[in-house]
Amino acid sequence: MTDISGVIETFKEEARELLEEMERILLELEDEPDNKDHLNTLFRAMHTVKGSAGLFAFNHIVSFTHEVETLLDKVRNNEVSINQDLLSLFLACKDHTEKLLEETLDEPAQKLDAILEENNATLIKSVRKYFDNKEIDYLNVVDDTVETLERNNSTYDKWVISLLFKEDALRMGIDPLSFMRYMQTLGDIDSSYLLTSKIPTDESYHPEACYVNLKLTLKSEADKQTIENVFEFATDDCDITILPPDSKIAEYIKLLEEMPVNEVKRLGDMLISIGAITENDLNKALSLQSDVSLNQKQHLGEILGDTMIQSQVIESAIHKQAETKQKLVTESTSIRVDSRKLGDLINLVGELVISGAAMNLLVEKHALPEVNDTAMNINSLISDVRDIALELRMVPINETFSKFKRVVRDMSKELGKDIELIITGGDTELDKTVVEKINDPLTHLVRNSLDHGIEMPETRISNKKPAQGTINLNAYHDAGQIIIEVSDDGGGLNAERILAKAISKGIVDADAKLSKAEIFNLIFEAGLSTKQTASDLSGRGVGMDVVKRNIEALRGTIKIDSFEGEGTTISITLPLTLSIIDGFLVEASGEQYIIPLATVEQCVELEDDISDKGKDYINLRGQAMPFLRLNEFFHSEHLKQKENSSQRKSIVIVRSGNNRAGIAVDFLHGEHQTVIKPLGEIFNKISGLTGSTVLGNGSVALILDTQALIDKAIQKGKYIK
Amino acid sequence: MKSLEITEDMTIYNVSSQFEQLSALLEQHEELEIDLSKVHEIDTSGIQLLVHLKNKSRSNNKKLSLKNHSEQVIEVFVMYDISSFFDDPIFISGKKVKT
Repeated sequence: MTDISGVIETFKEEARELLEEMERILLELEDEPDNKDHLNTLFRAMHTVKGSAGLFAFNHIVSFTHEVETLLDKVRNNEVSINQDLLSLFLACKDHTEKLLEETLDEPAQKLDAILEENNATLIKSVRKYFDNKEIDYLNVVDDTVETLERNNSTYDKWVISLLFKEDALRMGIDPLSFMRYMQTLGDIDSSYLLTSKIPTDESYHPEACYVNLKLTLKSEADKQTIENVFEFATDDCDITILPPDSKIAEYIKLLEEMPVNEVKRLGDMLISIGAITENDLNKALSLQSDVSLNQKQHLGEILGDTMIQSQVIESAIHKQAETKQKLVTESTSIRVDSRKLGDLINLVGELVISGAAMNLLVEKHALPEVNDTAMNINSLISDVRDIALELRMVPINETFSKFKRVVRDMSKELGKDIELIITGGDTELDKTVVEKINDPLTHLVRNSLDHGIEMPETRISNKKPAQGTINLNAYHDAGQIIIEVSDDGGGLNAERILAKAISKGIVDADAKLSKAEIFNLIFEAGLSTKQTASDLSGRGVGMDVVKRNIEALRGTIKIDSFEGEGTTISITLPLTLSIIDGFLVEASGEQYIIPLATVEQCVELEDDISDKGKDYINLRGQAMPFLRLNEFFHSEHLKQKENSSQRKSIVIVRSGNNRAGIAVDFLHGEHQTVIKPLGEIFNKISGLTGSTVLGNGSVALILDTQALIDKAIQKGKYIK
Repeated sequence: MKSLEITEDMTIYNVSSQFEQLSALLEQHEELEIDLSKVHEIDTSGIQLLVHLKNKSRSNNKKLSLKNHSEQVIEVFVMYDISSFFDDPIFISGKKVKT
């Protein structure tokens, strides 16, 4: 047996993406239920899932999605109208499909377990309920003059032509007989029916008026355009319908399938190019389409399918069109790459950056002018390659954010609250690995806001707030970091209650003097929940500590800001990337350090008179700026031996958010492309470091955690004050 | 029984006068026989007229029959597949005609 597990994996991923898209669109449909494009996309998504599942014989998925697809088709054709219940049903169906996907992929032949089976049955039942309600079959609306003749078996290889004459036709010199005589030159008229039932027998009969209609079947090799040309002069006085023989349908469908998929054509153009309809047909259909009043606007395909060409051909063309569209979309926007390969690439680029630095050193050392130019060139190429390689892993955070629409929708219903989710900055990009890991902590925070933050509508109204609560997800870049905020306009945190709880749990001493921010930070401690009763959503006191740990594992920080009665904002600051950054190389006491360049604001020279020990502020253009001596911070005992050095020191001013601080160093070495390598376990306890890097000469530099250093500097300044 | 030989073509140019003449005859007589041997051309309006008269005779319980169809008339009757409607014997003169 061939190994198809790889293909199945692809299918699984594709199906999951499609389902996610479905969910997103379903939620958007809540706001704009008339959006036809959305309906089409929904239908296509379900259709594709069904189709691919069929390929692998995942019959449970096929049979279930088939029902959903059918219903979606009805919605698309305006036979079933969209309402809240229907959308909820589709969401439930989407969830169920996802479960089926999980459960059945490994053993497609296996029977469903009882719960799934039951779900399956209930959902199918509710889906089918919609079918029975309204049964408007638009095929029945087809003009009755085309009647029985056209769909019977005897028309297999015959054209079916029907001519409806206007009353003036004969007076205008048109004689159906001449058409027939001419048609005999194109092929064999197999049968003809002169419909005479409209000839009046009473006085209303006028001998020169035309009352007859004519239908005939023609065996002919001619194409549609040639046949239509027969009636070229009669188009004003006669409605002509020419249906191609059934045998042609197969040919048309084959031609459609063979059409190259390099551009999206319009439906009409596609059909003309294979000869299934003529230009005339199309113009007529288009004018029909623009004629009908807005509320019953028909698709071009439906109009064509009614009178000009068998609907199988239209379906096939529409399918082809959709397929082409999809193919072009995926071709032009993305290719699927194993993330491991990307990881490998980035590792290699990292090595390249280090080797590049080594080369630079050699070039400098040997001072070879010719080599210098080439080296500069290579350097700029390396930095381009690095940027592009890193960009490959960047994805917009919207993917993660939009998942919360569903969470908010479902939970607010469950909790009986009215909550709106506002997403801003969704196109802010960050590293894919970070995105994946940020999902859980974010879910927790959003749930907290939903459950504890936003009050019940009655409470809100009595507090003079709008009944509808708002949760805001926001993301933006700042100083080489990405900041993600989860804020709500709910009740805010009650500092006293948190403190009381923390004291009763023994987390802080009863007489501790804590600032408001410090009290808020207590909620990140394990075992603290201020909600009296735990719901199943949140409030068991596990969580915020885990959230904090998760964020820290990503080298990020989390901060909380709250005003009682007004709301809470939690901001998460994360590094943009986990692999390569632009660094600023500095030296202190013979040890080299990297400061992330994006956090560096300026460098100033440290003047002698304020380099006194114990002084922790400098006067930076009239502003008090706390600073740390890097050598003191990391090597306090070896400081004394070096103290005599008359070396002038520099201060690098770094910024994170609104906070600034200086870092005093011995030397500034300048910009350096820094490949971040993790520090070993034993460095875990040391704050102020986030990683290490290898320099061009093979020595190691430590990467500073500016955020932590700034906090330390500010704190230190405070105690002395 | 009244018998009438039509000597002109039964086309849109003559159909009005033929209508008046034939309607009048059908009014007056219980039975009308139309000889088509001299009709060298018949078009759709002619066929329409014949259908109209036939229907009218039926609804008035009168009898209208056609005889001596000319070759051209037969051709059109065959093309429109309408001979069974009139239910008159048609004599085919040796020429193979599809039914």
